[in-house]
Amino acid sequence: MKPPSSIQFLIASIAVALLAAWGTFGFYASTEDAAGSNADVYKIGDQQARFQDLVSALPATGIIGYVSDVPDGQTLGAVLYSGLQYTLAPRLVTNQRLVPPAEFVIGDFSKPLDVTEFGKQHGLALVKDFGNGAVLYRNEAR
Amino acid sequence: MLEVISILLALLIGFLLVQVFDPSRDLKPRWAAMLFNAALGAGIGIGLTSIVFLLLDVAGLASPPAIFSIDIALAAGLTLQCFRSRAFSPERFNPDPAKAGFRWTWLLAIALGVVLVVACVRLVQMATALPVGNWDAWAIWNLRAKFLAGPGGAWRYALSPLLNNSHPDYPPLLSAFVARVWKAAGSMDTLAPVLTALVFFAALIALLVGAVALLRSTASALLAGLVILSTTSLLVWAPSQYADIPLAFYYLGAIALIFFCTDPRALFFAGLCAGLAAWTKNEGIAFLVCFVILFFAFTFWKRGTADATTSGGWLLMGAAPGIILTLWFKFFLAPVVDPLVTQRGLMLARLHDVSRYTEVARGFFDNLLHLGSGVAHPLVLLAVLGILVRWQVEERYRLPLWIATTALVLVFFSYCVVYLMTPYALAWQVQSSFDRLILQVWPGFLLVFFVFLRSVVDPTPAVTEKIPAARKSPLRSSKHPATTRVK
Repeated sequence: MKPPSSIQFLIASIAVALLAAWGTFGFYASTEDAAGSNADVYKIGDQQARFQDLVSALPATGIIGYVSDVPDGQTLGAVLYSGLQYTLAPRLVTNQRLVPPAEFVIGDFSKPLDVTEFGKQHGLALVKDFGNGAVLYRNEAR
Repeated sequence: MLEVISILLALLIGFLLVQVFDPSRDLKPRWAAMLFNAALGAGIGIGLTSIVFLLLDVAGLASPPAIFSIDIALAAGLTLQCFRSRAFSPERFNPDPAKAGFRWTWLLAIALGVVLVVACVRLVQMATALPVGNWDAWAIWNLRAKFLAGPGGAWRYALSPLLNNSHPDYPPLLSAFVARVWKAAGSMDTLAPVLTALVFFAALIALLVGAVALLRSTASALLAGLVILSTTSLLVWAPSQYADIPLAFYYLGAIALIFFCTDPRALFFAGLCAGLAAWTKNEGIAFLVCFVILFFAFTFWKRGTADATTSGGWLLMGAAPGIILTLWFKFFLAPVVDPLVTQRGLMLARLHDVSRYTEVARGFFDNLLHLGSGVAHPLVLLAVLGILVRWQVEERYRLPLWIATTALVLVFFSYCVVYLMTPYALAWQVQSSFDRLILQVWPGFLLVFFVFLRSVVDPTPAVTEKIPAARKSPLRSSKHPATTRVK
């Protein structure tokens, strides 16, 4: 087969350069949201702010229980649970039943409710309601 | 500030280590060799320092003084070794002898520069806007990094079965490196994972461009850079802080280095990259197994037992740290929570469901289409190059091409088999991960493509072949046809 000429190389180079530039500028234009203030779609930053005061009431490490009004099977429940795990690490937050149970349990609520009553139903004594759905309980079973 | 120093020390250690052995020492141009070594060194430095940190952490010895002492001792020792081995000697940086070039290389260089600047500006903006990264970053990789960087024995939580949604059995390279930086700095600032993600992205691009420049030509390398930067899904995932781009980096490193296979040091580093891939993600284990077996098999087939044993020995020696650590991690540290291990019987039964094959195939084509956008899709760019530049495989690259192509295809095939057997909702898993799996093998595929592609250099006029003959006879008459034409 006859090898390509210089002109063919030049056409290929110009085409690739222009198309790549087109693609990159397209990428730049299409990622406006991802580079703006709405980038944090799961609101992990908000989660960190919401639990900022509560963190100081916890030991630096250890296993912490977790309860919520949203089942973790739902997307919102998974976001709240995983987000809180990240926020409170290196403490290990778990929603699983442990023997013996964790001393402290975090309540993470998506809407206003009677947090004391919610705690009683789960065998938990209210330590402090930090507001904005962030609640600290102590396990009564210990 | 300490985060930046800690990351720079890791990069320096890697660069010095690569520079001491210089796997690309016989290759030209030297700028490309330096770029390749620097990029390779970045990934190897991150990988090796993550291993050192994890060992310190598990031994209860991880502390800022311990981390910085080891880093500085390693950097000092390697610098000394560099000067002893004349890695920085001036003759190694002499201008390259004139070789075939492409007169429009400057045009490609400008285009790559513009594309790179635009992409980097946006990536930094995206990384700044979302410093915690995307879902897997905070739910898996950085969550585990926080445990590894935590006080006392908090590292054990990174491997706790209580983290059943966060894959505590995933290999820890990325988490351990971020944890190392956090531990050294004494704070868990998001700067560490953000910089790590951007360093891996930059190193990936530099590794591809450097490798193609060494194996083909400068113009081919710039074209490869343009094609990979037109892969918009790669750009979207680059600041996400996921482990897929580091994994793609190690795949590319391993594959690129076997093309330098005349040098055993290159094979050692190829093995090291394959081992670090296994230390990065479960998919890397599949790559390591395929890569090592195929290397042995093809070398044995093409070059015989002696060559397969010697070359394979170097490769295995390099892979040994990754293999040993991954086995230790999987069998002695991590809990057995992966459904692929715990539900083997059920998994095999899913292979009989034909609809799953259709769904996986559809997922593959959908995600392949979303690698880029419209006419600027990287496959369009590759088609343009394939049609206009055409193919020319050099004999010396045939064996590495066999190994690389087969390894990439087999690894990708293994991903598809896992999809077929997954216990999770297949549609969800395909939709949430297939694009990243394609990205893992994409840079390696691009390297293979550009090695197949003819080098982009100015075609040599037939008459120039007569120049040496003319020079041999300086007394020849100036009316000699060849000399006249050269003039």
